Parts: sequence; C-alpha cells; structure tokens
Amino acid sequence: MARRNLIKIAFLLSLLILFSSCLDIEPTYQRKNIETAIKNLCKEEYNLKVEVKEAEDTIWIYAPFNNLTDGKGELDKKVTEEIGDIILSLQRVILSIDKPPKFYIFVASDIKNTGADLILIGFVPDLVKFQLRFISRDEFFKRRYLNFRINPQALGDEKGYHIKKFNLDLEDFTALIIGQQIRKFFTSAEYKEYFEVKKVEAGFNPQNKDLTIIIDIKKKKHKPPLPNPLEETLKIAQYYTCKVYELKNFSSLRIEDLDSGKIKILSKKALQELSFD
Amino acid sequence: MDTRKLKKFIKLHWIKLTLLIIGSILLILVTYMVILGIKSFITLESFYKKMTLAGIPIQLLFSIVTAFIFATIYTFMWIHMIYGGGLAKLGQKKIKSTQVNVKWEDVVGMESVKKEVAEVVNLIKDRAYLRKIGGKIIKGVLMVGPPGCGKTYLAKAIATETGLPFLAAVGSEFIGMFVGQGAARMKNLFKEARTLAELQGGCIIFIDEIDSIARPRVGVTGLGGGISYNATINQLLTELDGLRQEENNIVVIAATNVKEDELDPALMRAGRFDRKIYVGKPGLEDRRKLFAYYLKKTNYETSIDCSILARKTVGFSPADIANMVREASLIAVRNQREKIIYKDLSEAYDRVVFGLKSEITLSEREKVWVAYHEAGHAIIAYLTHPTDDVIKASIIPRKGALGYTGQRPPEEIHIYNKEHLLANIKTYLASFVAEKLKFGTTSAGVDQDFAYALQLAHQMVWRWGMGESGLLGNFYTLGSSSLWSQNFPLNISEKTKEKLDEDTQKIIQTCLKDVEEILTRERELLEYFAQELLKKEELEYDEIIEIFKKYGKEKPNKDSLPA
Repeated sequence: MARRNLIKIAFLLSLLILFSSCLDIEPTYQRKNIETAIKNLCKEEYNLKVEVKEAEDTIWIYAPFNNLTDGKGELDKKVTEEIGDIILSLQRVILSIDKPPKFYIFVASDIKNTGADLILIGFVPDLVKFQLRFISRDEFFKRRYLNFRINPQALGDEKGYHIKKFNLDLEDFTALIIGQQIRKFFTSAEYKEYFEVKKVEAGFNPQNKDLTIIIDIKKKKHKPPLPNPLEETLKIAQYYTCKVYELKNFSSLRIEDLDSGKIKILSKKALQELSFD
Repeated sequence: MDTRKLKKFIKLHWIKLTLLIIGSILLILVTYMVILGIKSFITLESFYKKMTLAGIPIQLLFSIVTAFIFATIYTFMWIHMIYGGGLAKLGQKKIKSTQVNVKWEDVVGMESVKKEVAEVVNLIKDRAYLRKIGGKIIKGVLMVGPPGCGKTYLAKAIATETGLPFLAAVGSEFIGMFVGQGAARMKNLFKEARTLAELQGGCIIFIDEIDSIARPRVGVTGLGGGISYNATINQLLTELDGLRQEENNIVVIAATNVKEDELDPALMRAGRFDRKIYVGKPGLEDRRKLFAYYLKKTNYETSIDCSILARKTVGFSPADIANMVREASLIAVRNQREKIIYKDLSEAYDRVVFGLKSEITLSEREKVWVAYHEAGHAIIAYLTHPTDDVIKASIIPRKGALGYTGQRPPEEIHIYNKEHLLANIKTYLASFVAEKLKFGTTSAGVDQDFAYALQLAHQMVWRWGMGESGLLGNFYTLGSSSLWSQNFPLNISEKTKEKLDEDTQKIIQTCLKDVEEILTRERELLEYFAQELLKKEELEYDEIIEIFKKYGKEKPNKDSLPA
C-alpha cells in the first residue's frame, strides 16, 4: 500500500517537473519602471552610475567615464569590465520585462580626457535569440552596431546631454548594420591589403522607402580572385534586408559605387530573387 | 548506556555507523544545495527562470537516454561476464557437439578403451533413466596415458556421441599472474557449464593437461604462488563435489600424461574422478588399423601392406603414425609423385624416429671415429640383445647426434628381464670399447651412452634388486619428494648406499668386460662393419643382416623384420 502511494507521488512529481515550464511566470520588471530598474541594478550590483532614458521603443543608456582608453588607444581594461557589467544589467532587465523595447543604445563617453563616444546599438529580438542559442555568438556580434568617435562635446557631460535621444527604426538599424558589415568585410585581415575603403555610407529614406548605400572602395593590388565591392555590397544588403530582418517597410535598394561609377537599383522583389553562385 | 556496551556496539557495527554518518552528511549537503538552488532560482529574473524550467524536460530526456544507454551496456557486460566473459575469461571455446564432429568410427583401435568410454557415454545419455533407478551420474572421467595416444580425440568423440555442449580448456590456462585468477577462471568455467546444462540438458567439460593444476596441494611459502595453486585445485574439488553441490548434468573429462598417483588424491577419490581410463600406445593390430585409416585419407599405392608398417612401428603412438603418413605425403609431393609409395613411408619413418639430417659436416677423421663408435653399438646389440633387432646404422648427423644406431623389438615388450637390461647396458658401453680398441683412446662421444648405462644399472640395483650383494628393495621409495625437490633417498645408511653403488659399478664393469671380450673376438667384423659404414654412410636392416651373415652370425631372435 505504502509502496503504491510512493509510486503515485513520484509519478505526480515527475509530471509536475515535466510541465513546470508551462507555468506562467510573472515578469520581474515593468516597462513603466524600466529606467529606474536599470539604474538601480547597475548601482546595487556593480556600483555604477548610469543615465537611462526611454525614447518610445528605444532605450538609451549613458555611462560617463574619466578614462575610456588606455595610453595605447585601446579600451581600458577596467572600463571594458564595467561596460560589460552595464550591458549585462541592461540585458537582464530587457529580457525579464513585461513589454520589452525594440532597441537598446548604449553610449559610453570619455568626459575627462579625450571627449569620445563609444556607441553600441542592439536589436532586442537578436538578444533573445542569442540567449536562447538560436544564433551564434559571432552572428550576434555582427548584428550589433559598434562605433567609436571623437566628440569634444562629451567632455564634462555627466548626464549625457550631448547625445540626442531618438527612437530607432528597424530600417535605420538595418542600414547601420549593412554599412558596418561592408566596411568590416573590406578591412578584414584577408582583404585589407588589396582594398582601400574610402567611404561606406548606408541610410534609409522613409519617404520613398529607399535604402541607399554609397561605397567608394578602391582596389590597391591585384590578386585573382578578389571580390567585387558592388556585388559584395549587394550580397550583404540582401542578407540583412530579406533574410535576417525581413524588412517590410522597404521597397527598393540603391547602391552607388563611386570607384567604378556604377549604380545599381533593385526593387525589393528583385533583390529577394537574386541568387549568388 | 554503559560505556563498555557502547564500545562493544561500536566495535560490532562500526561499518554501518560509518556509512550512516557519511550518508547523513551527504543528505544534509544535498538538502542544503537543493535549498540554495531553490533560493537562487527564486531570485532569478523571470527570463532566466523560464529558461531553466524550459530546459528541464529536455535535460530529463537526455538523462533518461543516457541512463538507458549505460544500463544497456552494463547489463550486456554483466551477461557477458556471467556467460564466460570478464577479466577472468578463459581462452576456452564454447563448442557445440556438432562442431566437434569426431564420430565413434573415427576413433581407430583401442577397442577396450572404447568399450569403457562407451559405457560412460551411455551413462551420460541415460542419466534420466539412471536417476529413476536412483543412481548418480558420474562426475568425472580421467584419461591417463602417454602423449599422442588419442585422449583428446576420445573426449571429442564422447561429446559428439552424447550431443552435449563441449567446453574445452587446458590446465595451464588456469595458471595466472594474479593470486586467485585460476580459481576465478575455474569458477567461471563451471558457471558457464551450469548455464549450458540448464539450457541444453547437460554439458561436458574437458580439461587437457590437468596435471598442471591437479598435482598434490603444496605448503604455502614464498610469494604466494602456493596459495594460488591450492585455490585452483580447491575450487575444482568444490565444483566437482563440494559443500554447495547440487545435482547437475555436468561431466568433467580430464586428460593427463602423468601417473594417477602423482595427482592430488582428493581429486582421484570416488565422487570426483570416478572413472580412470588408461589410454596406452596401440598394439600391432591397432597400429595396422591406424595406418589403414590415415592412408585412406591420402592417395597411396594399394600395394602398401599396413601389417608391415605396423610391425615396423613398434612403440608408435597414433600421433606418431599420423605424423609419419603426413611426412610421407610431403615426401611424395616433393618428389613430384601423385601417390605415396612404400619408400616415402620408409623415409618418413626415418624422419620421425631419427630426425632430419643435420647441417654438420664431419671431417674424414671424425667420420672414421663415428663409424667405429656406431659399429660397436650395432655389433653388440645384434649379438647380445635377446629381443631387439638392429634396424639401421648411420654416420650422417641427425638430431644433434653425429651418428646413431637404431634398434627395435619386433613386437611390444611389457616385461624387461635382467638379460634384456644387461644387453642394453652392453650396447651402450660398446661404443667406448670400440673406440678404445681401434684408437687406443676414447672420446667425449660416450657421454650419453654412459649416462644411459649408468642410469639403467642404477635402477637395476636400487629399484629392482638385481645387484650382486643381494640387497633387495625399491630404495627410491625411502626418499622424500615435493614440488621443488627431486626424489632422493633419505632413510638409508651410508653403508647400504655404498653397497648399492658398488653393485651398480659391478654391473657396469661386468658388462664392460663382456663387451671387450666380444669385440676383441669379433675384431674383423668390427673393422668390416665400420668400413661399410664409411663407404655407404647408412646401413639399412637388410644390409646389416647381410654383413652378419657374411661372418656367420645369426640373430638368436628369429622374428624377421620388414625392411
């Protein structure tokens, strides 16, 4: 009798464990308190002071630093750690919130020495995919926009006033990523000795829903086979617009190659049907 | 509670207490970790909580699959060990009786042995009937006999006739590097046999060369080799008829070349190796049948008379006969013949008995020496031996010897009388005398001859009471023996030993004197014989007879041998 009861209990427990993932779990954070949540988490767990601002579906985090770079022009080690902690806190809140924003933009500024901004822009669904291991780490890093610029306006700005906070669209974000990837491709170790990247600009025009990419990439040396900048740009653009983000609010792509003087214009459908062998 | 009682309690149950304490500590640790884990889980953000919970079913599935795989592997290994695998796995093969396939008709000759064995087979086959009467099945059958006489072959025939599974092992397989390995292997063997017996109604275990593990148990000294050895025999004794014995249909057949009394007496008692079957060398008729059997399997001249071959091969075992036929077929092939002829068998006989011709090249002087040496043997053997014939004399080096003289009785001899033994001694000493007569000196070539002569004379006096002093008895039995020391007499006075040794020397000196007389008298014959040997290098039986006939010497034993 006791043995039967034991078996029943064990069975029920197993079912409970098995179906526990179906339970509804309350989100830890509320969207209305997202700014304080991020600030408090950074303060309590890492003793870091940040400014957080919400701009519709984009969350801005500003972190001032006295020394962003070390003497060799690279990010200071301690700063890198602290930036990592801030990003982690940001991720924790964004992922466990009832209504997550679409984008997060993190700005770290050197307010004392150089007056520089380190900008990191990320797409929240990409973050979720990475956490669930649907995309690899490398792919996730490719889908984040990272930029470093000298900006004297950052000097002395502890609150981040010099940064204009706006709501980012997916199309704008895609354009940024495409531009970053094109630049990265032709300045990689494999091709940097063969190409000179003079200009790469990508932008989205919401009025005519046109994605424009302007490239000026010159061949320095000849060595077959080398990729064609125009074709490569097309490939990258197609990948991010049609496969990764599947942009809906986009109707055509225009690529201007200043080096060859060629211009390519493709409709969304034509872009989707393109194949590269 | 009384401290003494407490101490006693701890002393008796310290293992349980230790396990209980360790178990409790582990339980507390596990509980603490679970509580910590739950606490950490509660403090997790909702996204990570969901991730953790979502991962549980898949982790559970992986755990179940992994557990299933390991359980399967473990079960498979366990079954494999039960059915004869594992570290103590023997090299024994589980053989079906149909695979052995040695039929009764394939066992040639040894009719009396077959009769005894047939009885054993019937007892095994009719064990159900036997049990009804209330009889017990025989446990063990011991086959004793010289090597190559068909013990293993018989065992296979028993397996085929009974139709039972056949587990074969060799005694040396039970001797392992580690203590207890032999006993473990023995246990495994019988475990497997019991399983097979349950499944198939019976099982035969055949242990060849059982003397390697069945000699009398030893005292434990040194590095524990004795412990292991004893453990193996003890295990065998237990398996055959021990305390935990239950009735099972397992019959153990063992084969050995040593005498029964050299094995552990506990094994030989009734209830263990109940039946002892002596498998000896085949007689004349059996040899004839064996030749017919083996030749039938080859392409041979039908004119070959197996009776002649049988008479020529006195003292041959069935293995020797098979070897001889095999050699003959190889010789025929080498000579590009399609059939075996008598000459091939003759040559094969020489190879088996005398060995292959050696690479040694003798100088002329050495050849002369060897020729006189062998001539001495041949003449004395021919003239004095009551039974044996001189069948060959040779100065071609074979088998490590520079020459040889072959002698053989025309039929089996089972009783060796004094004259026979003395004639052997004289034959051995003949080489020494021949060398002395011819060269005025002797050589180290008499080494082996002297060894045999002395050994024989020694045995005549020390074992068979043939000494002149009249001292009787088998003085060897007054010695001690153990695994590590040879038999030597202990309980004999020095005076007696002296007398016995004197008798031994007297025999040798008397024989020597006789040989000197004969060879001096037959000097011409000696010279002629030696010269013939030098000329032809090898003299066959008929050539030898011709030489002696020429000098008017007839062999007292009139049984003519085939060439």
